[in-house]
Amino acid sequence: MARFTSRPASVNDASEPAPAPLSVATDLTVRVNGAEATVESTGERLLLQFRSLPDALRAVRGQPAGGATSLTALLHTTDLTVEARVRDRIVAVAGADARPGLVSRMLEVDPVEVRVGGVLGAVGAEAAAAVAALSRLLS
Amino acid sequence: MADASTPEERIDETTTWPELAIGLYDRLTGRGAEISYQFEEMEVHVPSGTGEDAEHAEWRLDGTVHITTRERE
Repeated sequence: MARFTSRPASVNDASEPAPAPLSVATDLTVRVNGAEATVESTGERLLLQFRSLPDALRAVRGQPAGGATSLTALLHTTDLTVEARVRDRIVAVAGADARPGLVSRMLEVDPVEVRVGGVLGAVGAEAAAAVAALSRLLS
Repeated sequence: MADASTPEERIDETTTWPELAIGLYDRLTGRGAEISYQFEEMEVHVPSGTGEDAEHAEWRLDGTVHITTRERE
């Protein structure tokens, strides 16, 4: 039986260089259970842009069991970061640049970093959009 | 048990995503190579688990992904 001589990077050890740093360029649309996200890239950072928080949550629910852990291991190995945005607000970060804190542990999404400010901003933006849509309907 | 010594052997033996990435890196690096994937409304039903009663999420991909390697810092 063959085995690997290279080992995956430790998720918790940011001091060691990634064993397989990759650069990714995308022009991609992903739909998970009908929730659509565009995927753009700056090379080392993948930007997932969702239209709404419910869309983002639907996509999260479409992940396989252990998906976040596998994704995080892959991102650390490749020195890549995934940034999830809703209405241009960063709501979550996974991978090399993620810094999960207390909120992530409370929500049991560690090692994914949750940006509370971004979530609140997205909620506010959605509420404002709903009010604007309602105003247009009533006018 | 023998160690895999070539990228070809390693990529055949991948069992995890990090291992796959390392195999991909070994193939691409030092050659200025790029690997491109083009998806045209590709549909994948991703199981939530391994049991018979696992639910399946519908994933659809449309667009392109280009992967190159970077220098280890």
